[in-house]
Amino acid sequence: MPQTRYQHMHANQNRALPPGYQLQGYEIKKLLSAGGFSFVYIARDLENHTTVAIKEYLPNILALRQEGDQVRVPTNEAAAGFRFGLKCFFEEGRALATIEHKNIVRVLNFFRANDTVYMVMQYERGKSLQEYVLARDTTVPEAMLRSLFSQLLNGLREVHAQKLLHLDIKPANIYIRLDGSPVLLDFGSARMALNEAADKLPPSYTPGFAAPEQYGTRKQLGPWSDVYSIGASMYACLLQAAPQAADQRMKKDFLVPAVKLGKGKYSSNLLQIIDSCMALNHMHRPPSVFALQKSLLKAAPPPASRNWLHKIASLFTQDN
Amino acid sequence: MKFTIHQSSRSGGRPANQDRVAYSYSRNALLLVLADGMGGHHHGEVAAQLAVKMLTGAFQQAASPELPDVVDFLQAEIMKLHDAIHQLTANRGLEETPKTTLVVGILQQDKLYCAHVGDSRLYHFRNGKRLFRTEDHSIVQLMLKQGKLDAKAVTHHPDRHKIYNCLGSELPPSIEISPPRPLQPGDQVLLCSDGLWAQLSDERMLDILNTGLGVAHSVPSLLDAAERLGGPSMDNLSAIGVQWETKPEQALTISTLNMALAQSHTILGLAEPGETSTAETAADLVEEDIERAIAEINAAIKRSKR
Repeated sequence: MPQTRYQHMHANQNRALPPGYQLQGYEIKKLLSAGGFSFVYIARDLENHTTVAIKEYLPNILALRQEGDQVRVPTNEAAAGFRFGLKCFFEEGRALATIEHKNIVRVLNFFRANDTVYMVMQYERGKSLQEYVLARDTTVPEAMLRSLFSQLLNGLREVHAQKLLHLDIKPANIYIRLDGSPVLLDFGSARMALNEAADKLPPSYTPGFAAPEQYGTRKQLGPWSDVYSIGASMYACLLQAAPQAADQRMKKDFLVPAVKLGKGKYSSNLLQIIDSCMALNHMHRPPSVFALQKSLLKAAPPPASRNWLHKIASLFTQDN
Repeated sequence: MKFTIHQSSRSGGRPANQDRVAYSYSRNALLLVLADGMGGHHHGEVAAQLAVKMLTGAFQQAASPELPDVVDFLQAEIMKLHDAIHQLTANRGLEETPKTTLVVGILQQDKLYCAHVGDSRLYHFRNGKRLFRTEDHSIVQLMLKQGKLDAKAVTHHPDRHKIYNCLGSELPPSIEISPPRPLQPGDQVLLCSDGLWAQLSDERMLDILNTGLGVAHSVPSLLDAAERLGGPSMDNLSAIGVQWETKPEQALTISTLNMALAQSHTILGLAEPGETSTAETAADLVEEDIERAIAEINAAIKRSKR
């Protein structure tokens, strides 16, 4: 699976804060990722002696930091955009702050410095589902997939209950902790449903995982959009690569249905679930996250490799 | 309600920008405010800033989703503003009351309402023609009306920027409210300060506004043109341009169709970066909002941690 497919649409060309930089009560250790709207750093909480992830709001196209640490907004128009983006960042922070869920990244602090704002999050040890999938020679076992995604959907239900859409669910944003439990990261594309201000910013999405309605006017966005990305993420576990992008699929759909691609690897029940999540028409996807979760939990794993799977499954059921 | 809007304010050749622009819209109404803090008076930008803040604030309260009585709103809120300027002078112990001009446009139910004090203007254009323009509360305009001057002499008169009516003076302002004007799709409304109109004839304005590229292009072009003509001692210049019910819809067209009834958005114009005095006051606008948002988020974090 080529790495570039997982990168954001706009690379961030701003300068990141250097390692060792003291940011209020935190010390920057290293840059973790650079998205179109932000940087994420690994940092040390100097008071609690813990490791945290810090997200810095820095929209690439609106704000500039070529040297030093202060953020400069180049024009009047950019200033308005910068503040719109800031509102979105606050909304993300607000929503995440109210969510206390083991499958959703935890926000610890929110502060202002260097003429921009920072969100401190719990740092999770483990690796992303993307790394996990790429490191394997064979497809992820069905029982693990079902367990992982049904736990993740618990978190997603909570997100939707806060009237927030994630809009960037993909294997790179699904983190697997050392205990095997998943946690949903990066709410940088998250938008409050029904929020007009959010539309002022150019959308950020990942081809292959974004729902068709995330392209174009974006008027049809809803929980079903995240359902598409869940389906695409499961599909990516099967394919070990990103599926065909939805905008391409709308022109000419080359996507091999999961029922065909995964025949013999996964049960036809699971493959049908994946295909239904990835329906181009959102009306044909599972009616709710809850319904999807129920169907993921319902079917038993195939009997052939039960003993072996049982071991792995137990890995994810303990310590929950 | 659908419209395309653009606002911009520049300091010209002056060390500080005392002009302020803002707009605010609800589902059914759009408010435009432009204030020109008076040069020569100390803290002119304080009065202008208060003007855009108070009027957009009052609009947000009252327009849910439309103003019940636009004329009442304009009359009452502008008087309140005048009083607030005096109040602020007393509170801060300023030696002199800051003063400002004001022009306000309200677009609601396909009608254009306008109120002004001083020489900041509102123009209404349709099909490449000027339908309406506010009359300046200036000495030369008065002389013109009384037949003491002809139109040609006005443009070069040394006192052409002297006004007899403003907010923050000792006398209560005379608020001129123009009768409501019907709006048609494609109509353009322009608010501008004297820095802009002093440099551009109506014809020149129309040429720039009718390139078909939309207000996001034409408003900056108006300012560019005025700045080129104004030279190094150019006054502050500002404008807000609106195109009503633009067809075909452009990428920047705002539709309020999906807004909640009680919802509104306010966009306060920012001064140019690099101007310390005004940049600070402009940042004031968001400062408290930012602080409040951060405090709220941290309170939510604490609450959910329990």
